Amino acid sequence: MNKKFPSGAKLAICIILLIFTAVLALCAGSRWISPIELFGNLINGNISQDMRIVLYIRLPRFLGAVLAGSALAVAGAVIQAVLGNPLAAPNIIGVNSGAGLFTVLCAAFFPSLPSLRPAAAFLGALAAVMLVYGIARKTGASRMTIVLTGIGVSSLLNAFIDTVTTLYPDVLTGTAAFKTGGVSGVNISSLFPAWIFIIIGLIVSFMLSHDLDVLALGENTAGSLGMNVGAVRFVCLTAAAVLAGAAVSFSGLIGFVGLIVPHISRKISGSSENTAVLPLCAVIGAMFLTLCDTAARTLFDPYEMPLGIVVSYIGVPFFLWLLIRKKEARHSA
Amino acid sequence: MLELKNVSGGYGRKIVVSDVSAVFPKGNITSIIGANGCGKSTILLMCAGLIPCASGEIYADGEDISKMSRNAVARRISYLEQMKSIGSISVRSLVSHGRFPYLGYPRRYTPEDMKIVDKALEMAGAADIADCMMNELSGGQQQKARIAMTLAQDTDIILLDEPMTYLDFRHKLEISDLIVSLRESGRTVITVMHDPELAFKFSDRIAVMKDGHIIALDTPENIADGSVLGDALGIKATYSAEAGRYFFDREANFVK
Repeated sequence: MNKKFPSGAKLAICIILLIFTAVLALCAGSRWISPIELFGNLINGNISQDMRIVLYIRLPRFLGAVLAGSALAVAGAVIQAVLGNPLAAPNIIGVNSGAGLFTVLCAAFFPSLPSLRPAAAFLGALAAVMLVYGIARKTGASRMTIVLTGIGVSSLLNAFIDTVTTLYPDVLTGTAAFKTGGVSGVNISSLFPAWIFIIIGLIVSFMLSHDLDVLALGENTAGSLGMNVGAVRFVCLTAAAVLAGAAVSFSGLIGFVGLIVPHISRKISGSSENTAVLPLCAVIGAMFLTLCDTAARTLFDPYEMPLGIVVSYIGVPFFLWLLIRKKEARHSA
Repeated sequence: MLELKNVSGGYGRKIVVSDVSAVFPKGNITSIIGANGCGKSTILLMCAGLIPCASGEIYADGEDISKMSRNAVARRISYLEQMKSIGSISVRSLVSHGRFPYLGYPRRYTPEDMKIVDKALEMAGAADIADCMMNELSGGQQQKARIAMTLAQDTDIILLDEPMTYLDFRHKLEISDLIVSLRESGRTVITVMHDPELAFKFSDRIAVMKDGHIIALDTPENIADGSVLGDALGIKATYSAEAGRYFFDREANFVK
C-alpha cells in the first residue's frame, strides 16, 4: 500500500466504505428494501412494515456488529502491541473466554440483572489477560509459548463455561449461540450499557496510541525514554479488557476479529504505528463484522448461519496463514 | 558526568554487579569490555536507571538518579539497547520518539522538536533514509536510525549497549566515527563493547569487567600495559607504532 498516501485519507475512505456497508446491511435481508425506499421512508417518517424490520431488527444488529467489531479489533491491536506478539488476539489468548465465563456466571447468579453483564465480562477479560501476561513474564515466554498458554487458558475457561451452562441450563437463552457468537438476538436495550464501555475503551485506547508506539520499541527503550512502563502497560491491557469484555457480553464468543483486522489495518496503513492503526482498526473492524453478519443473514436464506461460524471460516485460515508466514509475521508486530 | 558509588545490583535476588565505583567524566568515551555474562550490560541498565541499585548510588552531574523522576532521568541519560528488530515504522517516526521525555499530553511535537529530530538525523547520517521503513533497511542503516533517536533525546550522558555487534565492518567503522563525533560535542559516552579491537580504537578510557566488578578503568595504553586483559579476557594487546593501533593475541596461560 502506498505509504505516501496520508493516513487521514485512508481513514476517510474506510469511513465512507463503512457507510456503504451500513446501507447494505440495512437494505439486505430476506426482504430487500431499496436504499431509495429506505431514505424516503426515513425522511417522511413513514413507519411501514418494512421500516419496522429495518428499525427493530436490522438496525440493532448493525449497531451490535459495529460495536463488537470495532471493540474486538482495537482490543486485538492493543494486546498485540503490548505483548509484542502479532499472533496474540483476544480469542487466542483466552480473553474472550474469560469474559464469556464471567458473563455466564453473571447470568446464572444474577439472572434479573442483565445490565451487570458487561462489567462482569470486563472482570473476566481482565483476569484472563493478566493471567496470560503474568505467565508470559514469569517464563520470559516466546511468541509461541504465549499462544500456547492462551490456548490452554481458553480451553480451561471454556470447560468452566460448559460446567456452568450444564448446571444451570436455563441461564442464557441460546447457550450454543453465545458460544458461537453473533448479534442475531441483539436489540437496542441489550446494547446498554455495553456501548458506553466500548466508547470509553476506544477513547482511552486512541489516547494511548502514541504511548503504545513507544512501548512497542521494547520495555527498556520505553523506560529509558521516561515512560512508566508498568503503568502504561496495565492501563492498555485494562482498556483492551474493557473492549473485549463489553463486546463478548452481548455478542458472545466471536473469535478472530481481533486477529484479522489489526493485520489488515497495518497492511493498509503501511506501518505498524498505532496512532494510525488503531482508528483504522475501529472502522475496519466495524465494517468486517457488519459484512460477515450480512453474509450470515443472506447467503443461506431462508436459513441463517451464525455470525461466529462465518467469522471462523475466514479467521482460521487466516490464522494458519500467519503461522506459516512466520518470518514476515515477526516483523509486522 | 556519571559517577557510581559502591553500586551493586542485578535481577531480583541475583546480584550481577557488585560493589562498583567509577567516574565517567564529561567529554569522554569509556568502553566497558569483559567476557560474556560479566555484568557489562547490567551495569549499563543500572546507569540508565532501568534496574534499581540493590545498594550504592549513581549520580548524574551530582544528582542521585534514584531520587529523580523517570522523565528527569530520560532528559539527562539516554540508553540504546542492543539491536533487535522493531516493527514497520518509518525512520523519522522512530527518531521522533527520542523526544518522548519532552512531550506533554496530547503527544504533539513542537517545531522545536522537529528541528532537533532533523539535526539528529543529519548528525547520525540518517537524513537520506528518514522516510524509509525500519524493517526495509540493512542492519547498519537501522543502527544509524536508532542512534539518531538517542541523539534526538538530547542528553548529556549517552549509554550504548553493543552498538556495533552484528554490523558489517564498514558500518562498524561508520558507527565508531559517529561515536567519536559525540565526544566533540562534550557528551559523556559509555559503551558496552563486545570487540576490544574497536573499543581500543575510539575510546578515551577502557573499563575492564570481570565477575561483576570493574577490575580496571584506565586509558587504552595503561590497560594494554597491565595484566587485566589477560586476567579478564585471556588476551593481550600490543601497540604497533607503525600501524598506529593495537593488535590482540591470545594470552598463553589463561585459566578461565
